Formats: sequence, structure tokens, C-alpha cells
Amino acid sequence: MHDSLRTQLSELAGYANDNARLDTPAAVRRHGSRRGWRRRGGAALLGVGILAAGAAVVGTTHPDVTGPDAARAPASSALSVQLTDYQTTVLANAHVTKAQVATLARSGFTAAQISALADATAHLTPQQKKALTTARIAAGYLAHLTQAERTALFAALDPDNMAQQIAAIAKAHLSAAQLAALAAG
Amino acid sequence: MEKADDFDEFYATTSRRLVGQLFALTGDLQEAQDAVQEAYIRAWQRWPRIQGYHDREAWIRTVAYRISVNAWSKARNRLAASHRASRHVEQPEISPDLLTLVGGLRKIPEPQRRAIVLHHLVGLSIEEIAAETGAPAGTVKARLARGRKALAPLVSDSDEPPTRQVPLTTQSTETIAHA
Repeated sequence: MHDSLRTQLSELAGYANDNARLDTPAAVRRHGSRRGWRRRGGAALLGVGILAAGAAVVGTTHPDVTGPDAARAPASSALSVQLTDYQTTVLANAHVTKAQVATLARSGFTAAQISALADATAHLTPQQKKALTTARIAAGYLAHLTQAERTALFAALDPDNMAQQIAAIAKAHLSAAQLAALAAG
Repeated sequence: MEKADDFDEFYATTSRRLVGQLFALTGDLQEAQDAVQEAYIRAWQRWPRIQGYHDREAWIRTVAYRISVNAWSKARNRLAASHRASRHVEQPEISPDLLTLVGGLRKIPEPQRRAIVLHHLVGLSIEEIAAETGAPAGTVKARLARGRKALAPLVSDSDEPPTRQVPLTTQSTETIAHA
């Protein structure tokens, strides 16, 4: 039994070994270096922000996020919010702006609801994702939303990229404090 | 360039093997590839430190494993999988025996699966598995015993080669993965 199990596991691994499509080492290094640069650049921006504002209240630490909202980020607020480099990258990749997340937060969306929305949309085909409509949402595709929440969702997000944006916001795993701070900001 | 050369050599000699190990753990080739590549990206960011580790491969395997079990990674992979399914990407053929084994591995609890793969595929001793997983040696032994018992009906003792090959589509692995 032990030998058979070992043999079959080896065959399984061999299948993956033979069929894996991996990047070249140089491409992997490039990814890593680029991400490292972003982190260092973000840290530098954070430092400048702290010096300029005199308080550790920062909207974003990611140099790639250059949306209008990022430029208007308040220097200070009653609640402080700091998105991690990972969160900023995930949101930026789906072209989600801070203003969009803030709109959702102000509409009362919780992290759990966003996660449920992402789960509900994850299984749709790309065609279905493109055709996300109020009717589909009302039909129950996207969890149990109130009419006001559905309206807010469509007002906040890009209708042509809604499923991806929902997935990105869920993947960013924003805390309740971060959502509250964004709503207040 | 010595640093890059060392990384490149390490990647070239270990990455495919690690994808194989992660595939046995996850039952999803794409997920295994993604997790392993992400682990190497993180390794490159810390290469001066990791370069000096006694067992760099174990570091990559552990990080890739954590990535693969991370809930947010799973959500992203489900999204990617739905894209792939819509394109009906055909994977090369896999034998029915192996397909059954993948399904069986997915059905046993994750700690048992990890112990089975580390022991029977990677070739680690009980003590090495205990060190890598952070579980006591006795627990590792129990997990191995239970995992083997659960898999016993699926593992054929015959040395005969499989008689039939079936195409493995992305969709079929997804079905197994969520069984």
C-alpha cells in the first residue's frame, strides 16, 4: 500500500511537473523587484506624508494609485485609515478608487456583505459578469441586498467592470475600521 | 549577478517539483502554479536572507501552501477558474487512477493530506514533517495512519498501467476540487 501510494503520488506530481506553465526566473525576479520598489516607494511617500501633515493619517501608500480621489485625500481626519500595500495594489489592479469604496461604506456595506457579493459573482461566466444588471441583482445573484444598497452599488462601481471590482474589494479584505474611516473621510 | 544566478538556478531546479507537490495538496494545477510562483516572488524579495537557509525548498513549499489555503487566494482563483472554464481550456490527459487519487486526496482532511504528501511524495520523515507543520510527531503519525486508511480503497496495488486515458478539463478539476 505504501509503495503504491508513493508511486501514484509521484505520477500525480509528474503530471503537474510535465504540464506546469511557469514564468521564467527572470520574470519572477522582475515581479518581485517591482513589488519591492512599490513597497519602498510607498514607505517613502508615507514618510513624506507624516512629515507634511504632522500626523500619521494617510490615504494610500501606493504610488500607482493616482486617481482624483487619491489626490484629494484629506491630510487628517477624525478617523485614520491606512491601506496596506497589498490592499492598494489589489484595488488599483481592478481600477477601484478610494471614492468608490467610500461610497459603498457610506451606503452601509459591511466587509461581510462585500465578501458575499464577491462569492456570488465569482461563479458567473465572463459574459454574465459583463451583463450584470439591476434585474440580475434583484433576482438574487448578489446576496440579499436592499433596494437602497443595490442603487448604491450601481452608483459606486463601474457597471462595465462591476464583478471584478467587487472581487477586488473583497480580496482587499478591508477592516470595519477602514471602511468606517473611508466613509467618514 | 551572482544573487540572480543563484536564484535562477534554484528556481529552475525546484519550481516544477514544487508545483507537483502543491498539485497533490490542492488538486488544482492552476492553483498550484499560482501559489508556487507567488512564493518564489516573495522569496526573491527576501533572497539575501533565504539564500542562506539550509532548506530553501521547504520555505517555498510552506509559503506556497499557506498561499493556497488562504481564503482570499481561493476567491481569486475561483474567479480565474470561471474565466478558464468559459474558454474550455483542455489540459493534457490524466489517467482515471490519478483522477480518482486527486478526488480522494481532496476528500480527506487537509492536515492528513499534507502529512501524506510530505511523507509519501516529498519523502520527509515524521520528525521533519512535525518541524515543517508545527504539529507533534505523534499527531503526524496519527494523521498519516488515518490518511492512508482513507485512501487505501483508492490506491491500487496493481502494477498494470492504466488502460484508458481521459481528458482533464479545467472544469473537471474544479468539480473535483469542490466535491
